[in-house]
Amino acid sequence: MTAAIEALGNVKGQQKNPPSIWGLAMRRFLRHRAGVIASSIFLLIVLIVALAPALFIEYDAAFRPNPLQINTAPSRAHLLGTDEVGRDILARLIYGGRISLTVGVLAMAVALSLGTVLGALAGYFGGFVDGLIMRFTDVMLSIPELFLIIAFSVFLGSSVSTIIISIGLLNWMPVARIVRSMFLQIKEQEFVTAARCVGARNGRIMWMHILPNSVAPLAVAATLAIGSAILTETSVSYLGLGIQPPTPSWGNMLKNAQDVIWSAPWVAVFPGLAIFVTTLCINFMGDALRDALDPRMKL
Amino acid sequence: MSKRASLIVAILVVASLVLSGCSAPEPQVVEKEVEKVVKETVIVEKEVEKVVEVEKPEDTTPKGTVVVGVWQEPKGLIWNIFYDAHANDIIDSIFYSPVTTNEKDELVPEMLEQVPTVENGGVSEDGKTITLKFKPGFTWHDGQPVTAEDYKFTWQFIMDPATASQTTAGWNMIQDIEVVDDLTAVVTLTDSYVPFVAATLVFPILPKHCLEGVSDPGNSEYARAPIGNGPFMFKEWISGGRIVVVANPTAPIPPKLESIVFQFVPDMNTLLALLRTGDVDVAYDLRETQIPELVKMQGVDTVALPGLNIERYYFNLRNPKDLSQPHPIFNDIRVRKAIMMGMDRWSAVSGILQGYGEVAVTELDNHPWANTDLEPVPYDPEAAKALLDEAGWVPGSDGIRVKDGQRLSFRHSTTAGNQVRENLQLLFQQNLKDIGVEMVIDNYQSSTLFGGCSSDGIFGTGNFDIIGFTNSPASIDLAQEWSDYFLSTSIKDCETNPAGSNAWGYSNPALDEKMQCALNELDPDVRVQCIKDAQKIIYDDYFVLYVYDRLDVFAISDRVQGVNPTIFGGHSYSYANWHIVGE
Amino acid sequence: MFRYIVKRLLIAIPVLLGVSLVAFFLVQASGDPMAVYYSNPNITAEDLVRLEKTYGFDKPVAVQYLYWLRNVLRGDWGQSFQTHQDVLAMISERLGNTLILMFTSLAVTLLISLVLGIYTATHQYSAGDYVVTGLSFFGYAMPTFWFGLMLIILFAVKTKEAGLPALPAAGMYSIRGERTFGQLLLHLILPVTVLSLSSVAKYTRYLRSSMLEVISQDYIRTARAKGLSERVVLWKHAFRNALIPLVTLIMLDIPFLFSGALITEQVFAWPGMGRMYWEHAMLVDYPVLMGIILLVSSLVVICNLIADVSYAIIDPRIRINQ
Repeated sequence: MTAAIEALGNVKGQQKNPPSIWGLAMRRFLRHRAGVIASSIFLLIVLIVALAPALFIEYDAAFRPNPLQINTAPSRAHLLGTDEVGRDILARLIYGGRISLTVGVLAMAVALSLGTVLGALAGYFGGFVDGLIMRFTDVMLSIPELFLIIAFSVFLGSSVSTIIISIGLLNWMPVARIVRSMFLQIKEQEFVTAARCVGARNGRIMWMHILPNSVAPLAVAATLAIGSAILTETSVSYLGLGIQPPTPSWGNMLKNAQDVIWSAPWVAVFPGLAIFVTTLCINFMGDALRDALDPRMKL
Repeated sequence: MSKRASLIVAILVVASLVLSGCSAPEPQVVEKEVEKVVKETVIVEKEVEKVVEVEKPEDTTPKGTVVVGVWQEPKGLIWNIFYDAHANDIIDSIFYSPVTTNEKDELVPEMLEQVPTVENGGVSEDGKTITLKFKPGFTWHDGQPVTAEDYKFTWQFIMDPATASQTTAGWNMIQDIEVVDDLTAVVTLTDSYVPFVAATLVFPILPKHCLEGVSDPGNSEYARAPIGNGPFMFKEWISGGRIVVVANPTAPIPPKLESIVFQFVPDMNTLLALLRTGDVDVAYDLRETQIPELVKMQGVDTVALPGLNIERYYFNLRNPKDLSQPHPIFNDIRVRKAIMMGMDRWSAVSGILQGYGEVAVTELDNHPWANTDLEPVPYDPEAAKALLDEAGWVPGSDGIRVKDGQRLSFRHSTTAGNQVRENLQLLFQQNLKDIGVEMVIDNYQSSTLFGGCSSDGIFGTGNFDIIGFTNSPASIDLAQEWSDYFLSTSIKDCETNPAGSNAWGYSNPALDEKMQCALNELDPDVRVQCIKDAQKIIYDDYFVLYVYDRLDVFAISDRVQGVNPTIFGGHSYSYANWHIVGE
Repeated sequence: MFRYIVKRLLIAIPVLLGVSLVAFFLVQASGDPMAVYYSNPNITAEDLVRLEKTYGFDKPVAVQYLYWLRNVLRGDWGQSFQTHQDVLAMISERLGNTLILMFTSLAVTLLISLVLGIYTATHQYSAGDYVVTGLSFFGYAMPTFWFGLMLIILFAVKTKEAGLPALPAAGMYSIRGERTFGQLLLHLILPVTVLSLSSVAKYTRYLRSSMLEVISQDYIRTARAKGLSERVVLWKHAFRNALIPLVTLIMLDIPFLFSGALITEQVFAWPGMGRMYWEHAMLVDYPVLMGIILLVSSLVVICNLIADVSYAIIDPRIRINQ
C-alpha cells in the first residue's frame, strides 16, 4: 500500500498546478468508460427504486394479493406480468429493489464500521490487542460464510434488519485486515510521530490522521461489498432463510419463482436480471474506482 | 383370477363443497384439464392383490429398472430408529409387513393369514390378547426363515433403550409375546388398545439373527445395508447418491422389475428437470404449485390425491407471555370464529393453489372416519365483522379494531421458506385486514418452530398466537396421533409435561371422553361414532381451522405401470406390482 | 524454519478452539435438534423424554460443548443424532467428492484467469480490457442457484428435447449407467462451470493488479533496458513474480469455495460435504456440523501455513521471523 501513496505523491509532484488527489482520481475514474456507464445505470436503478413508488407505482399493486390473476404473462396492465399471489412484478421489483439495495448498502456499512474499528485497534496498539483481534479474524475467516449465515439467520430470525446484521457480521474481516495493514505502515511515518509529539491523543491520531489515508482501498472494498451482500441475500433466500413475506426483495422474489420456472418463466427472469445487472454495475464501479485510486491495489 | 380394468386418473378435483365431506374420496378429473388428461390417461390391466398363492404367468423374469427421484435421503434403513416418511418409503421395498394396505387403502394381510379382528377371533373379547398367524414361505434375504421369534424380537428390540428407537408407539402397550410355534405368536397387551393392529403391524419385522446382541444398532452395518424379507433385496447405498434394490428371486410374490434405483435429488427443480429428461421415472411428495408444470410434461402422468395431510392453524388459547392466563384475544370464541370466517379459503384454493387442493373441514378429511355432516367454516366477511362488533372490537384510527386499548393484532407462525404456506398467509393477511384485523407473519425454521422447552422453541414454550402446520399420519388408524393434540392430559407445560403435544392448551372433558373411547372401544361402530363426535366437538370450539386438504402429488413416467398411488399407501405399497411397458 | 512451523502450529490451536467455540454456540442457537421428533405425531411423549436424555439435550449448552470438546480431543468426533453414524465416517464418504468438485473448479478458474489477467494487464483500458472484464464479471454477478438452474434448463433439458447431445443435470455418475471416469467428467461440466465462473472475476482482477504492480518495478525496467524481448520480460520476470501472491489468495479462498459448493452441490445433487452440511443444519445435528466446520477450518489453517512456508522458500526476501 505504500506504493499507492508514493504513486499518488509522485504524480502530485510532477504537476505544475497540482489538482487534489481526489480531482485526479475523478479524472481517472471518468477515463474508465465501462465504469462510467455502469455508474450511470446504477444511479438510474437507485433513482427508480427511490422515487418510483412515490410517483407512479401503487402500493397495492406490489402488496395486495389477487387470487384472480396468478402468474399471468406480461400484458399492458402488468408490464412484467404477475407473480404467484397475483401481485404486479414490476411494482414488486421496484419495492424489492429498495430492500435489496438497502441490505447491500447497510450490510456493507456494518461490515465496514466493524472492520475499521477492529482493524484500527489492532494496527494501532499492536501487541496483545493485535494478537487477540487478528486471531479472532482468523477464526471468522476460516469458517465458510454460508455455513455461519445459516446458523445466524435461524438464530436471529429473518427480518430485513437481522439479515443486514448477519451479512455485516460475517464480512468485516477483510476490512479489518486492510485497515490494520494501513495502520502498521502509516503509524511509523513522520506525520504521526509529529502529531503525537504535539500531544494528540490516541483516538484523535487514529481518527484524524491515519484513517483518511486508508480511504482508497476501503472505498473499493466497500463498493464490491455491496454487490456481494446482495448476492449473499439471494443465496440465503434460496435456502429458505431469506427476508419474510410480505416484504419483497430480489432474492426472495427469485426464490419464490423457482416453482413456476417452466410454466411462468417471467416470474423468475426479471428479478434474476435485476440482481445480475445491479451486481454487474457495482463491480464495474468498483473496478473503475480501483483503477482511479491505484490500479495495483489487490482487492 | 379376477381382472378388472381400472383407470388411472391424472388429476383430481378440488374446491368442491359437496365433495369435501365425502367419506371415501374417489379420484376425479378436473374439468378444465379434461382434454389433456384424457389423452394421457392410460388403461391398465390391474390384478387385484391377493396374497394367496397366485397362479404364475408364463414369463416371470423380472425386467427393467425404474428410477425413483427422492428429495430427502433417509438417515438409515431400520425403520424404528430412523423413523421418517421418506425412509419408510424405501424400506417398504425391502420388507414385507404383517399387514398392509391395498389399492383401495383397506387393511389386508401380507405376512399374516388374516388381519386379526374380534370377529375372526384374532383379537380377544376384552381386546387384550391378539393372536398372529404367519403364512409359511417367507425367508430373509440371507436364506433364514422368518419366524414368530423374529416378531417377538422386534418388540424387544424396539423397547430396548439401548436401541435408541425413535418411536415406541403401540409397541409400548405390549405386556408380553408368547411364541407358540414358528408361525404363531400371541400378544398380550397391558390394556385394550384398538389402534394396535393398524399402528404396529403395518411396520416390518426385523431379523433376530442379524440384530440380536448388536450394540448401537443405529451405527451398525445393518442400518446401512439391511437384510430384509421383501420383494426386493438391498444392493447398495452411495451416500448422497442413491440406494439400489434388486428383485428377490425367492419372494412369495415375485416382483416384475429387475431393480429400483432411489436417486437422491435435493432440489425440486432439478428433480423436475430429471423427470423431463427421462432420467427419473417416478417422483413423489411434490408440491401442489408444481402441478401446472407437471401436467405439461410429455410422457409423464401426474397423480394428485387429496391426502390425509390437512393443513391447519391452531389458535393458542393461552397467553403466550404467561401460559397460566387465557389468550388476550383468542379466549373469546366469537373472535376465533370471526377470524376463521374472515379467511377466504376458497380463493386460496382456486387462486393460489390453482384448484389443486380442497377446502378442509376436519382433521380426518378423506378418511373413512370423517364426520361428513360438518360443513367447512364459511367465508363470510360481513358476518365476521358483525361478530367482532358484537365482541366489542371496534375499528380504530388505523382501521384495525381495538378493545380496551388493545389492537386486534396477532402473529401467525408457520415454517419459514415454505412457499405455499407463505402465499396463503399473504392472502389471509389481506382478507383479515379488510375486516379490521391485523395478522403479522412471523415464521420460523422448523427446528425453531417445533423446538421444545430446553431450546426456547416456539411450539415448546407456547410462544405463538396461531401456529400452522400439518403432518403425515403414520398409520391408517389415526386415533393415537390425533388424540395427543387435544387431550387435556397432553397439555404442554415445560415444568410438568414438557413432551405434551397439546401446545395450544385446549381442554374439554367432553372431548377427553370421546378420545378415550377412540383409543379403547372395541365395538367398531361405537368407536367410529365417538371419533365423529370428537370432530364435532373440536369443530364447535372454533380453535383449530382446517385450512385445506393437501394433495399428495406423484409424477409417473408412462413407461412405468402398476404404481397406482393411494391416499394412505402412497406409491410404496405396490412396488412388487411395478413394471415397465413398451421395452 | 522448523521453529517457525512449530510456532505457527501453536498459534493454530487457539484459532481452532475459537472456531469450535463460535461454531458450537451459533449452531446450538439455531434451533432444537428435538424439533424433528416433536413434529412427528407417531413419537410418543415418553419417547421424546427418553430421546432427549439419550442425546444429552437436557444438559446446558456449555456442558454439551465441554463433553463434545473432550471427546474430540480424545479423537472421538461423535455420532450424528440423525444417522447414528460416526461423524468421521460420514465426512470421509463425502469429502472426496467435494474436493474433486473444488479442485477441478479451482484449476479451471486459474487457467481462465491467468489468460485473462495477463491480457487485461497488458492491454489496460483497451476495448479488449473492458470486454474481458465484463465477461469475467458475468459468472460472479449471477446468483449461484439461478445460474445453475439456467444451465440445467439450457444444456440438460432443452438440448435433450431438441434431440441434441445433452449434458447430465445431476449427480456424479450416470443414473442408469456405469460409474466410469468419463461419466464423472461429463457430470462435472455444469457444476464446475457455475463454481469456476463465479470466481474468475476475482482472480482475473487480482492477477491484473499484481501484474501492473510488478511491471512498474525497477527490475522489470532493468530487464527491458537490457534489451530483453517484451515476451521474455513478461513471462520470465513479470508473470512469475505476479504469481506468488496468488498462492495466498487461493489459500484464503478455501472457505469461500466451500460456501459455493454448498449451493452448487444442492442444485446439481452432487454427493458432497456442503450438501450434507445443509441437510444436517436444518436438523441442528451438531456433531456433523461441528465436524465439517472443524475440518474445513483445519484445512484453511494448514493451507495457510503451507502457503507461508513455501512463500518463504520461494522468496528469500521474506524473513519468517517477522
